[in-house]
Amino acid sequence: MKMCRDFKSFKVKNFLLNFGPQHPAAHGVLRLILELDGELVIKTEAHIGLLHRGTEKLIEYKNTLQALPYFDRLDYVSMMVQEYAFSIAVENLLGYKVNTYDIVLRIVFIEITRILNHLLAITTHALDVGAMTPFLWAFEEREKLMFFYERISGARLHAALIRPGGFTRSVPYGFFEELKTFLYQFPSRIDEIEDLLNKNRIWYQRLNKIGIVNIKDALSYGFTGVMLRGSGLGWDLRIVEDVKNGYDLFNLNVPVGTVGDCYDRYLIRLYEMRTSCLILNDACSFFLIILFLLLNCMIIN
Amino acid sequence: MLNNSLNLRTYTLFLKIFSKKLELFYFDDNIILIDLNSKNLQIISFLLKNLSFFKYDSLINLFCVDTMNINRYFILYNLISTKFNTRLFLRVKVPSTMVINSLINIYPGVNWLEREVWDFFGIFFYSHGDLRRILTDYGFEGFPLRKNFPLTGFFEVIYDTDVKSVIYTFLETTQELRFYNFTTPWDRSFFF
Repeated sequence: MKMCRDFKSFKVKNFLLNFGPQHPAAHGVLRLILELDGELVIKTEAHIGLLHRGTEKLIEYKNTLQALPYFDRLDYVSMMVQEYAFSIAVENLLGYKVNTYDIVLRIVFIEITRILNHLLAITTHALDVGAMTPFLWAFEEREKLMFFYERISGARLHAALIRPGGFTRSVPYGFFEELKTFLYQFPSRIDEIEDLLNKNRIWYQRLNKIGIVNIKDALSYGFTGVMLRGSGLGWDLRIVEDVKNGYDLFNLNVPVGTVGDCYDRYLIRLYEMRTSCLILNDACSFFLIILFLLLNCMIIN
Repeated sequence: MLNNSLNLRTYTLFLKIFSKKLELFYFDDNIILIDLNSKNLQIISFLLKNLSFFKYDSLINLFCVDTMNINRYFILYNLISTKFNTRLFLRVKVPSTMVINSLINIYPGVNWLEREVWDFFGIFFYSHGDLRRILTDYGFEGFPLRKNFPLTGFFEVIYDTDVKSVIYTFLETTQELRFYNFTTPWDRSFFF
């Protein structure tokens, strides 16, 4: 082969790569057109696919209660939160105030959903980075949590439980005792996941100082939740709108990142799961005391 | 905590500064809603973001409403001030030319949201720069979230064994779209 040493005659162009619609690293159907300069991604163009399910269009032909089950299909890893958002919207429009019992019960299910969500987020991330084991462990815990969904609504994922005005069904017998036994063992499962990941060299190298977002960008791009807190702003709707949510009944700390990288976000997710456990514990005690009082009153009467 | 006093404060500030540019102003415990003319949208959102006593630094959501009236489309911008903890809705009537100014220079996160509104409602965002369809199929025609677009659509995608590829055909439904507008059996006027 003839070697060409006259480099100036070459025109260096960037390389276009089609990160195709089906790829195991992209959960779901995502097509990225990447412009590469060597190994560096300079520009990316996302084709997010036919993600829209026409929920608004379908709801045009339905009434409010019929519309409810569409909302836990919008985000199938935080089902109850979507229902909750819809229910709150309807209640605000009607000017309806939910009683404290239902508010606290909603908080129980929202925190269960938060644990479900964070478990999935952390462990599938770990799966992409290369750690398989936390994924298997966390999905066992997710199964236990979805059992609580099943106990009250009969469905593991799409519960359709929180409806405008309150709840579809009441809590079955022995629910809070079981939740307490779950909460008793769950923090040690988080510890196990932390043992595997926190100081793991591969995990640390692939997350530390990766994907740094500063606070100005995070705000102007409309980030919320963990993404915003990772960038260093303590903005949490549980704290910020606590009187409306009913979170003023509970103690909770909001973790905030310092660097704004992936590792910060990972730590925040872990911490939030622990906070959710505490809230759930408090709420369980609240309900057990209420039930105890009710029982006693019945006996006395 | 979104409380009344904060909204009152924002309200008075608004009246002082923008009194000539506002068309309607509504506030209560939950929301502040402002009607704007689409001409004033860019300047007012710029001021809302940058003035030190508003600091609406995050545009959380943008959506379009089809009201089927003479003023048919409205676009609502949901702004949040993380500094003063208030939430604000800007409601902008879309003019009959179906063109409205883009906010991409002020809030860059609005990019995909505006593309979505363009995709589903056919409202053109002037000076957006990259206004393509985002959620519908390549080569899709029509604006599906308009109220006069049918629920079932016009075309369907099937696999044709003769051509050996996926093709578009006209939609054939075995059953007409049914509306379940029954009177409830609990309504007494149904019986008597």
